[in-house]
Amino acid sequence: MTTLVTPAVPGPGRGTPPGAAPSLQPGMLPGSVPPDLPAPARRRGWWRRNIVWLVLLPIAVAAAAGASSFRVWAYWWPVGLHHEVDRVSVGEPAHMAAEYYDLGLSVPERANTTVLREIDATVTGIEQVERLPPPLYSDPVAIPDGSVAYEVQVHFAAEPQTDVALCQIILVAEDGARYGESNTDLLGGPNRCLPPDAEGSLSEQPEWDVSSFLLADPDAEITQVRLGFGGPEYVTVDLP
Amino acid sequence: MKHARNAGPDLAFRLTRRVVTAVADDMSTTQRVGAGAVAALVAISPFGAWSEVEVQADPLTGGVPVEVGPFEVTVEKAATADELGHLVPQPGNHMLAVVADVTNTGDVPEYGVTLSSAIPAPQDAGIVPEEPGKPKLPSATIINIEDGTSISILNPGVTHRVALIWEQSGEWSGTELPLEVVELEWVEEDPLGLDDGHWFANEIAFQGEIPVKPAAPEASAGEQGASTEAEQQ
Amino acid sequence: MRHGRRRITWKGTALVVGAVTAGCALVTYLPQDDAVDAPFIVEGEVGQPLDLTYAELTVTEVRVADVLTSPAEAAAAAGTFLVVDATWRATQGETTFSGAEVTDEQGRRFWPSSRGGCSTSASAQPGYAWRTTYCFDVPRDALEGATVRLARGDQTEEHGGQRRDAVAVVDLGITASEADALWKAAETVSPEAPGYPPASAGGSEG
Repeated sequence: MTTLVTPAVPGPGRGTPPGAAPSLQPGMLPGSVPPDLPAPARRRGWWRRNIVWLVLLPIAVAAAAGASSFRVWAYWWPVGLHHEVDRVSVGEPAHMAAEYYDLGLSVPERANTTVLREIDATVTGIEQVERLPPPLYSDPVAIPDGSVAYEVQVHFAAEPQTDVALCQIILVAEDGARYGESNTDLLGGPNRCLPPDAEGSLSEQPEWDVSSFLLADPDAEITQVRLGFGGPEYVTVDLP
Repeated sequence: MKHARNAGPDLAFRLTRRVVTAVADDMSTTQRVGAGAVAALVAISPFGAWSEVEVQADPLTGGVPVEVGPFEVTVEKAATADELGHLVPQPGNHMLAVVADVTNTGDVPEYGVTLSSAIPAPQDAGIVPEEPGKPKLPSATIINIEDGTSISILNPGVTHRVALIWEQSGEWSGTELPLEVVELEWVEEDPLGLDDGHWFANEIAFQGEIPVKPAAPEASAGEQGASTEAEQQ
Repeated sequence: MRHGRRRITWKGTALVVGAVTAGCALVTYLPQDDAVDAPFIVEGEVGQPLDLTYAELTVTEVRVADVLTSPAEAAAAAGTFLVVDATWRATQGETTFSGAEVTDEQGRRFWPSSRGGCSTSASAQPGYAWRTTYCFDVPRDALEGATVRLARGDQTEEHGGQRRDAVAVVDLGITASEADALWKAAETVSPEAPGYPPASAGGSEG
């Protein structure tokens, strides 16, 4: 440890010729009065002298880390499924209540307000299918080579006019692969949480059923279904 | 609050003086001279003290290649047209196209907008501003002449024959277009804008009068004009 | 506790200036960027499936074209279009593959064009292969020994999006004599829209 600023007064006992008075400065004649008497026993240890800063150091490090980690909550946390709010088995209703910031795209009165979305979802069935049903509006979709298709059936219950935009129905495999993360259906449906003929992203009935199709690897071992609306909250449905 | 307006600068001045005095008090004369010199050098840096002395713009002639940043640009000619593909002017106006051969002579791709910044809209030529009444002129739309597609990336080593297109007021009826080409300076580190590694449009490097061929039916009808342009210079 | 005035000494000044200079020199001259930022390069050749952790990638075919045609427009090459067909198969989740770049033997870099119906990026989910066609407008002397660099991170800002991430570098296998033949060929290619690959060429299957 080097001190950049040299103390004008060295501590006593250092460089004092033997036999001279301990309080006498080097080069000073005996009998003359030193201009400023040094306080005795000022040579406290470095740790003692800097105790305040040493205590403040971990606090400063924590504050700096917190201040520079704003991207975690500003960018990472709100986008993507990070917070599991309920976990059930197939056939059991999962309850999801989470707030989101509404831009007023579906209901102008909700523009720029925080809205609580409460929805009960029950995965009633999940099975591999050999072919896909014809889409409502576009050409038939064939299952591409090297892929298998799954049908996931979900029963929803929520107050009418609940906004289910950005709905995701995801199959998670044992190796962590997430199939069907996209908001759009394999058959081109605009919202996977609403019947294919629905317009917009608002629910109309108090209870309704949907069927969503997605592609997976043939050797994938599906272990759970995740339902979410872009995040961060989601619910997990464990497969038997 | 009569003196409120002076409070800020005055306070800053007093604080600065106190700091300077406190520091200078402890210095020897040599140190003071040295510190003063350093402070002076720092103070003049923001005003371009280390920039090269400004040079006069070189002449820009049709058919003669010029080096601008990563590009070699050969302005061939200028032409006006009622409309160019999907670019349709307001009634009474027309489109102005500057035809040029452009080669990226560097090792990395360059954006079309970098080329637009090197060849800004000509001043005093009736170019329709971005917003009515404002002096700011729009940057050029860059179209590949051979196929009419718009070019956003210029890869190294290939020469594109492009049209730089602006909307021009119908009242302008000159025969020569005052065109300027701006020097592009590579900014390796940009501590102020935090935008490292980009081309900065600096000062006018070339300027000249480019003959305008009026009301060509379309931009691609300019192929035969290149040779006549070359003879003129 | 004031014990006399602290003096600004030559020694102290030299220490401060020396420390700042040493710090600047360390930051400037140590090759720390390479150690911290270098991507994980996975090298391969045309037709070989490459494991990029987040995806499996196969460059299936390399062609050249003077003209690209699509329903929207026809695009003429200033040099020639190097047309690279690739198949992505995501393995972790929905992924956007933003990086596509050709490098020639001189180290020049070329970015893809979106003209003529070509893709400059791709987006796919696990569970299926997704075919994408990239088109690079390159000069004649870039053909021989060219490689294509594909990744999920994008290559602008000196490959800034690819730091500490897997990147595929595929040798396009163009020899000097092939380069001549490719340059002279007057081909017109209509790039297919991105989609599921045809039944026979679906990358490799597990």
